Amino acid sequence: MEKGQSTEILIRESIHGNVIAFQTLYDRFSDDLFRFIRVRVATRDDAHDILQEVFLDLWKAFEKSGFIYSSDGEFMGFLFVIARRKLAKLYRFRPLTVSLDEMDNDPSNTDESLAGEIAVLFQALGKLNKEDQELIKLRYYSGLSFPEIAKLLDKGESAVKVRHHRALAKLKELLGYEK
Amino acid sequence: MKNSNKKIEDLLDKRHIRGLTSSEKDIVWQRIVSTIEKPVPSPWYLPTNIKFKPMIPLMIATVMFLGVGGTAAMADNSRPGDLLFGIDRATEEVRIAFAGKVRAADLKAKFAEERLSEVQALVTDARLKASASTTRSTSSGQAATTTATTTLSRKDQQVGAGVNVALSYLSKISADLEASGNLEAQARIQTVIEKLETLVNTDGVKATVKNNEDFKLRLKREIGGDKIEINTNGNKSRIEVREEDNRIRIELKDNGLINIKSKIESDSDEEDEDDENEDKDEDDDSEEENDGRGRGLEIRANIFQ
Repeated sequence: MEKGQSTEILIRESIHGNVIAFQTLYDRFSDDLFRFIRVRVATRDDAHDILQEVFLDLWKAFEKSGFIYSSDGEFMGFLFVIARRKLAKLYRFRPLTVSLDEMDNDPSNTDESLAGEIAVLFQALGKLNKEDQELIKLRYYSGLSFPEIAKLLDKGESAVKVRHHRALAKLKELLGYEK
Repeated sequence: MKNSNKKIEDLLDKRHIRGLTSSEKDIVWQRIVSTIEKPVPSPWYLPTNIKFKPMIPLMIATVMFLGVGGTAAMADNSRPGDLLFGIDRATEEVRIAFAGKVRAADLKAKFAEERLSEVQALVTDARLKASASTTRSTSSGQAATTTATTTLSRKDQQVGAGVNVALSYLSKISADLEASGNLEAQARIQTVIEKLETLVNTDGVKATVKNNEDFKLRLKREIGGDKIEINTNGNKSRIEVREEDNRIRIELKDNGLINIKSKIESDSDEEDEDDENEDKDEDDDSEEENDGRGRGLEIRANIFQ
């Protein structure tokens, strides 16, 4: 199965039981999905487990009722919905107490001169409302595109962009940056 | 304003979460694929693209599989006629049902190969059992009686082995046809099985088994002329059944396809041969095949639907 195959074809092949096509889908979408999950779980192992469960659920969904593809963004959103359900189930009885400082971010980000600014930024981030915090995390921590965020939050893409812009504006205000 | 936005975005980007490493990605994938490709029969999960009717025996087989996992493993070495053979067949069906299409094709080919090996093993066993019998002879006055008794026992042994082989093969074919929904073909094979069983247990029936590379079993009622002849004709994947007025050739191909050709004969000249002349039968087959006499039907059934 060619890695350059469109998502639509890969989905169609996967519905027909083609494991290689399914693996290509996994290769294509697992990174972004993992980052989305990782922000919301305590350890990388937990994130691996959730990631595995999401793709197993996806396989079952393909087998049971098929899947109607509309866009890559929509498909990605579908994956995030599954992940959210898994996360909700995992943390139903225990609140997520992950400190952002404990997150394993990119090792290249070890510039100590920025550490102070980042710490201040986090404090300001905590003062945003939950919806804006979620949007910022999805955009920057999980690396999702606006269409993917829109699907996940079940909102229009324009609405998401507007909200994102307003969230940044609020952060600037909290940080005392020039308008 | 743009500079401020850019600065904040840059700072936020610094907190970008480290993604999956290559090894992490592989490890998670291996866990996914091992679950996907492992049959996990469960009463609450069934692929909806499988027809329901043939699923009933599969569901029964699924429960059996769940409850007797060790037995299923043992059943894999069973052969037609063995008690565990039914479980082995059911296990194969479950594995195919729950495999993806690509994997299912591989499994079908594998199981078809196993089927041929099972039949070959059965025929070999029958030959070995038949050749293992010995005839004792003595120089005493009782020699004739003793020899006659010994010869009869050996013959019974040969016939018994031959009948077992034929019944096992036909029963297996019947089960496969039933599982694949080919009830017409299955009914046809069942009538042959019933006739074979009837003749074997009937008085006044002469039974012989050929003791060479081919498997050939012939049963013929002395009075009435009921007859059945089953032979492989040198081809271990094929069995031919000849009755009074028709002939059935059953061939199991290595892709799981069963060819059943049935021909109704309109001339019975070759059906009254004596046992001493049975060796000449083989040469007649090819002529009968091409003589165009009679009418018949041909059924092609895939034992893996």
